[in-house]
Amino acid sequence: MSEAGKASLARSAMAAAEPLVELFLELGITSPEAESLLRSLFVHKARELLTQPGEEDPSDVRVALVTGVHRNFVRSILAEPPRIAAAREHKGHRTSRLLGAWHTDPHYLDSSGKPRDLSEKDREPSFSTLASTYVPGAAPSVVLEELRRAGLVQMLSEHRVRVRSRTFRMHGVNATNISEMGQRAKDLLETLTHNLRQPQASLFCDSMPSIEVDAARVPFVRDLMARRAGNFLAALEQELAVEARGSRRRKSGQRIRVGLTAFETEQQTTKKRLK
Amino acid sequence: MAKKTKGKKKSSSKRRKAPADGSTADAADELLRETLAREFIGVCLAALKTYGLNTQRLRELAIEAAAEPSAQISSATEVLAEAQRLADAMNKWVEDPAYRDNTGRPSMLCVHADGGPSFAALAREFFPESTVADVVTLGCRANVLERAGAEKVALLNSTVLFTGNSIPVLAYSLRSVRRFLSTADVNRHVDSAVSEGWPDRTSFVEVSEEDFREFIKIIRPQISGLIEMSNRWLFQRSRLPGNRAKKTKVAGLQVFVFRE
Repeated sequence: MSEAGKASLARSAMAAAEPLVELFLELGITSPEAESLLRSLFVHKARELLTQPGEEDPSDVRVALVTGVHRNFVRSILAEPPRIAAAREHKGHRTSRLLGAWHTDPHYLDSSGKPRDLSEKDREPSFSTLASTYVPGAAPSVVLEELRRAGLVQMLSEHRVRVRSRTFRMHGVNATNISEMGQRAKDLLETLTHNLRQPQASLFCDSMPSIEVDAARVPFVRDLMARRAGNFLAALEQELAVEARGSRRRKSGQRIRVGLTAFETEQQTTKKRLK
Repeated sequence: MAKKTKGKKKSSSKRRKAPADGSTADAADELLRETLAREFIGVCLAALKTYGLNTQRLRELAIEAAAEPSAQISSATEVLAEAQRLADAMNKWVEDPAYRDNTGRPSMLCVHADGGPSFAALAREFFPESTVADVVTLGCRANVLERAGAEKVALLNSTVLFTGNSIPVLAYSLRSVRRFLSTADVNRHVDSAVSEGWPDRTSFVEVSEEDFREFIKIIRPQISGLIEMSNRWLFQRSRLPGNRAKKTKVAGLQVFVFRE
């Protein structure tokens, strides 16, 4: 194909890909992740096109020649269904490092070990310094806007910023969150079903009695529950880490994945009317 | 090996239990008691020397202290009075619903009074003799708050820390030792530590420097959570109308990490 033809095709493909890119951005999929997914699709599709009916699959070298992907990568890509490369996926969103540091770097924690609310740039420790340190090469204002758009930080008055999540995740109804919702519902139902079927070996499933609080106090109660339960889960994770390390060393046959989930419940109540 | 002990623990299971007041202790008990007392005094003296006091001066002070009834000694309370008032002000900022924002956290406060909850109102309540600006400076120096913009302050820590300031740290240590000894005194007089004694638990294991740092990181939020929970319960109980008229005494919980 001529250079002019390629340029024309690229313009057309760009128009077709734009909505997809918008969707990726909305879902928090990074460009390297999308590129690795596209490369994986390229390789799989090339093998499909090169395969003649009744013949063996084309060699990795042939697929490599057609796609421009090195044959070593072709082999590893074809070994599994099309997906985002694990190395890219693991790297994740650039702001994940910043969010992690905001929760662990002592400069950005208060005396109880919680992430501090930060001034945007006027006072140290500031968000600007945090962003420059953990997302070098990006303007702190751009990083802040990206985090705000994803609902991961809350803007307070006087140009102060509060972090709301430890990991990068787009809020709202999206594929990742719906998948997680399904997993959590599955976990709870499996525990309840297990306890019905095997009461003699029941799994922990308990709750505190519900209390009624004034609607104006609900934000405080939510914050309190989140901090207490978060602390408890973090402590249990650390305590059980020793058990997990010991189990990894033992090469017994059957293994069981064990976890604990805590969640808050809320129901609207109405005042009883006296007759 | 991990160990868990209670504060009230006999040094040997074969040893006959000595009376709590030591009135009829036998010669061996008396010798052991004096050995422990000497070591106790030695530990205190060694600690005090790190604050710049020499042996001769400490000897003089020890003689003076021994001649005074202990109830008259309240210097620590006086030294810590300002810090205590600051802690009380921060406590109100954290606990009073009027001082929280719409997410349930302590809100940023206007330095000057504007009719509603403000830092000026807190300053007036807990530091009536000081200017608001002085209280802001005190809070910033104690690392409990910071300025946010020209007119507001934000809460940084609800705990007043004395790091890097020797005299308050010494006073704080004195108060901690006094409180610990009072708990130990209660526990040595009860028959059943489980049902009547006051909780006093310790955990200690030999670990590397690296593990110790990791331990601090893990345990800091847990300790803060426990103290916050204890503080909230006590604060709310103290404010119940039925409890206000009753005779009260300071009660609480103190937790710290140590390394020998």
